[in-house]
Parts: sequence; C-alpha cells; structure tokens
Amino acid sequence: MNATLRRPLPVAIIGLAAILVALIVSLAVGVIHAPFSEVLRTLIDGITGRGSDSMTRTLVLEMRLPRAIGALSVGAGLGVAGCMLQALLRDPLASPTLIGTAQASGFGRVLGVFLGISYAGSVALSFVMAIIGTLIVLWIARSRRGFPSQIVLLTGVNVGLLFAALIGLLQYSSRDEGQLSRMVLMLLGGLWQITWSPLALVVPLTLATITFALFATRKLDLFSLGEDNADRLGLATGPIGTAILIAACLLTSLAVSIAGIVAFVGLIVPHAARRIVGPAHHVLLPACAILGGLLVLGVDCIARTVVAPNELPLGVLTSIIGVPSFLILLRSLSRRGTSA
Amino acid sequence: MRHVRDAIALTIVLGSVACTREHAVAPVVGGPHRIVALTIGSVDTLALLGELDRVIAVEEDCFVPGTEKMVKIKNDDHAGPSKALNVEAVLALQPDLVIAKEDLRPALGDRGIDVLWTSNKSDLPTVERIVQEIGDRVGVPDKARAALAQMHAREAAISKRVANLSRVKVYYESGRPGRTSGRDTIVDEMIRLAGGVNIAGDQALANPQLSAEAVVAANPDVIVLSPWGDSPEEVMQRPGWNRIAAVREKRVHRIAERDRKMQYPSPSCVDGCEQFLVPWLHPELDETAEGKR
Repeated sequence: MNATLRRPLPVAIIGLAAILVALIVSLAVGVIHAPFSEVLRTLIDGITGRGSDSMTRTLVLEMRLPRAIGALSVGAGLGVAGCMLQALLRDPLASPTLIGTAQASGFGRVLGVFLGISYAGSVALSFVMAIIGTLIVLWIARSRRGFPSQIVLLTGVNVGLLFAALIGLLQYSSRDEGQLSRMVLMLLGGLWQITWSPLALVVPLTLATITFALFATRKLDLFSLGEDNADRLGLATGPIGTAILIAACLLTSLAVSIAGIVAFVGLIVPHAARRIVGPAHHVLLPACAILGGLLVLGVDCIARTVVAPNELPLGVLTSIIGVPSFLILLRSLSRRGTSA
Repeated sequence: MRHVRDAIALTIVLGSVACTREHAVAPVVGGPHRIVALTIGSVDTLALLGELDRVIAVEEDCFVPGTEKMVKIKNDDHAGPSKALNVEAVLALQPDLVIAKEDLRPALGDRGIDVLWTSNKSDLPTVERIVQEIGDRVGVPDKARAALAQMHAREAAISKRVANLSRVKVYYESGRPGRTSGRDTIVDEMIRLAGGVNIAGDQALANPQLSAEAVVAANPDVIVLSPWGDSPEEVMQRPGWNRIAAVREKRVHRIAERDRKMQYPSPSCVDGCEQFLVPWLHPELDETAEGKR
C-alpha cells in the first residue's frame, strides 16, 4: 500500500480530481451526443451565469448534472454509512442492506407514498423507520458479550425480509394503479426521476452528516479495534455510539429517498477503500465517500447507456456487481478465519 | 432400482389422471352461465356481445359498465407487480367457464374447471381471436363475427380519415416515467391506426423502460399518459422536457379512467382510438369539421 494514500490530504486531492473527471465524463455520455468541449463550455457558462438556451445546456444542467450529483450523494452516503456500521458493530459484513436498515428505510418511504404525505415527510418517515429497523436488529442480536457478528447478520437479514414483506403488503393494499406505480418506482433503485428540488434537501443533509462522521473517526478507530469494549457494549445508550448509529441511519434513508434501495454499495465500498488507504478512519471515511460516489456515478452511467434508449434500474446493476464482490469477500474472510 | 421404477410408474398414472381431468370438463348445454372473467378485455367483449348476464365475477379493477355489483377477484390484469390470485375464491363460485390469461395456467389449470386461456399478447390479431373464441364458447359465434366486422369497418374508417395527414410522433407513458408500450401491443397498434408513430414502436419488449433522454431525443409531437402515474402538469415540469415539441405546444393528454379500455385487448380499443386518440393526434380534423359546419 502506498504511504501517500494513508494521509487524508493526498486522498482528498486525488479523490476530488477523480470525482471531477468522472463528473465531466458522466455529463458527456448519454443517448444524446454531447462533445466534451461543449459540455465544459456549458458548465463554465452555467457557473458564470452566461450562455444561451440550447439543447446541450438543457441536457447538461437540467438532466445530467442533477443526476450525477444525486449519484455522488447516494454513493458517498451509503459508503460512509457502511463504513460506520462495520466499525461500530466490528462486523466486516455489516452494511445498510445486510442489517435491514435500507429495507426499513424503503418501507418508510413507501409508507409515505401510501399515506400520501409530502416529500420531506416521507424522508423523515424513512429515517425513523431506518432507526427502528436498526434498533430491532441490535436489540434482538445483543448478548452479554456485545453484538456477535453472525447473530447481527442473521437478524439483519431476517428483519430485512420482514420489512420487504411489509413493503409487499403496502403494495398489495395500494389504493389504485397510480399509487402502486409510485411505490414500485420508488423501490426499483434508480435516479431517472431526479430533479434539483429533492437534491436541495438531501445533498446538504448528506454532506453535514458525513462532516459529523469525520469528527468521530477517532472513536470509530477505537470501536473497530475493539479497544473501547465498554462503550461498544453500551452502544444503544452511549452518546457517541448512538450518534454514529443515527448518522448511518440518516445517510441510508437520504440515499433511499432519492434512489430507492441500492444494494451492496455500503458493503463493498468500505472494503475496497480499506485495501487502498488502510483501516484508519480519518482517511478511510473520506475514501469511502469518494469511492462510493464514484461507484454509483459510474454504475448510473452504465444503467442509462448500456441498453440505450432503454434504461436499467440502478439497484439491479449494483447487485450484479455486488453479489460476486460479496462472495469474494466472504471467501477471503472464511480463509482468514481458517488460517487464524 | 425397483423403487425408482415404481415412482416412475406412479408419476405416469397420476399424470394421465390429471390430464384426463383437464380434458374431462363437459360443455354446458346452452353455453356457460357462471362465467368468471379474469381479464378486462374478455368482460368488455362479453358486454359487446350482449352476454354480460352470463358473468358472475370479474377482475378487481374491472370498470366495464354493468359489472359494479359482481364479485370482484384480485388478479394481475394491470401494470405493476402481480397480485396473487385466490384460486379457492374462484373455485368457490363454481364457475362453468373461467376466462384467464395464459400466465394463470399454473394456478388454474388442472383444477377440474373449464378455462378459456387467452394470450398474454395484446395485439389486434389476438383481439380478433379472443372475440371469436368467446363468441364460440358462449354459443353466439354470429354475434362475434358481426362485432369483428363492425370493428374492421371502424378501423377502415379511421385509416381513411387519417390517410392523408402527416404522421405524428407519439410517446405513450404507462404508469411510471419512461415505461411505455413496444411493438405489437394494442397501444402501439392504436397509435398507428390513429395516424401516429409510436416512438417505442421499434422496441421488441412489450413494456420497455425508456430513459428520459431517449424521450427528449425522440421529440414526440404528442404525449399520451395512462390514467395512473404522473399528471400532464407533472410531466411538463420534468427537467429538460420543455425541449419536447409536445410539451412546448401543450399536447400532453391523459386517458381518463372511464376511457382506459383503449389499453385492453377488446373491440372497444377502437372506440378509444376514434374518440380521443385521433383528435389528440390530429386536432386539425376537428377544425376542418367545424369549418365545414
């Protein structure tokens, strides 16, 4: 591992440069051809408030840019949430999807549609459900020795199934075709309906939560190394542990609120980032945010171009990438367990 | 080895009993009088043939006039995820004929009930086949032939009316953004009949999911929305869609709940085409008619 990549500043500089390049590439690819030079000019015009009304301007500033920002926000949020959950639970397999947080959050979002409440209300409901789902898992899995990995994972999978069943029940009880359609769209996992208005709420909240997480990196190191068992045992009530858990739930629900359930990002991103920058959270956490953002942005580009003019659900593609990655991870963990 | 042989023999015996049961349903004298119709198209066809009084239960979302007080059974004759069919609810009605889509064969086949299977496809040749089959089964083949002849005559009249008009590009949205109807679906055929070109008419999938950019790139002249999903106002506010001719000229129309039979395979789909699709696609026809008046 390169020593440079263990320091936060180089990681931040390299990461931001990579994001900038990926962002410009994502703005240039799509069904309608837009040359790089024109994309760059449009971006500069957009920033400086100049330029005339053109198809490229509509494409770049109204359609592709909000989508790219949404993808970055979802990926960064899920990557950081997964990283925090893995440290907090000292479980390499913990992620918002595997411990049921994402499904609980999705249930909250669908319940919002079912009850016909506003977008902000649905996001709040999604957040509350994410907290309830996570607390149910931790309450059931808790033992005198803390939170045994396998029990947390098994409980999480089952609680996830319970919330998936509740989502099915809401869909079955939907009032009309329109409501059913909105529920299905909400959960498919995709950014095809993204506009600036939900991003105005979701992106600042995601950034604020990630910033908060950056202040808790020392505590996350202690959690993940098992040097603070007393605090970890008191996770549900300990103020920092609880705050980290709430932050992970909030990031998950914010991601679900704009992109539905996007599986595996929260699981594979922290592992990939750990391989690049090492386990120290003051570098790992920003790396997770950058890598998660890049992953979702890249997958979204594939989703909207690979079968053009059709579009694939984002969640389907992340699962196609995530399942083999998960199996490789499981295999390496079991080998490590055997050799130990 | 002997056990394996016995198991194979038992399977063959049970299989032949099952097959015998499926084919053993005797036709009812005077045609069926307890029909459970699980497709909206079949109910509409029966209504058109004047045989609705033979029907005792219909699909839950059925909106055909005259079915309001009938037993409603949850089924999957609509967009979105399938809703499970309660087979016992169907059997409890003791139907003498069930009309259902092919995809319900695993649930309803081999239950000792007479089932008329309809194709999962929904193009015009399928409509013609369903109408004739239903007419034959309820003992009114002549009525079915007459209904089809009338349908053909109206199709010909619509074709003649729009023959010399320019073809209009149409985007049809079925429930959620980007979801549309592809080649050889009833919606695609009705758009073509009304003098339009379905922007997804080259798609082999029945329900392709187009990207927003693909719709903007196709630049449809008219947007037709199904009764569920986003409203015309919401569609017109989608980012970048102000570039689309249909949005600029406010030619975004939503099919009313009562008119949604255009989306189901029955002769009534031609009504929908005639009553609102043609005027939406060719408003100049109305202006010409008013001018003549």
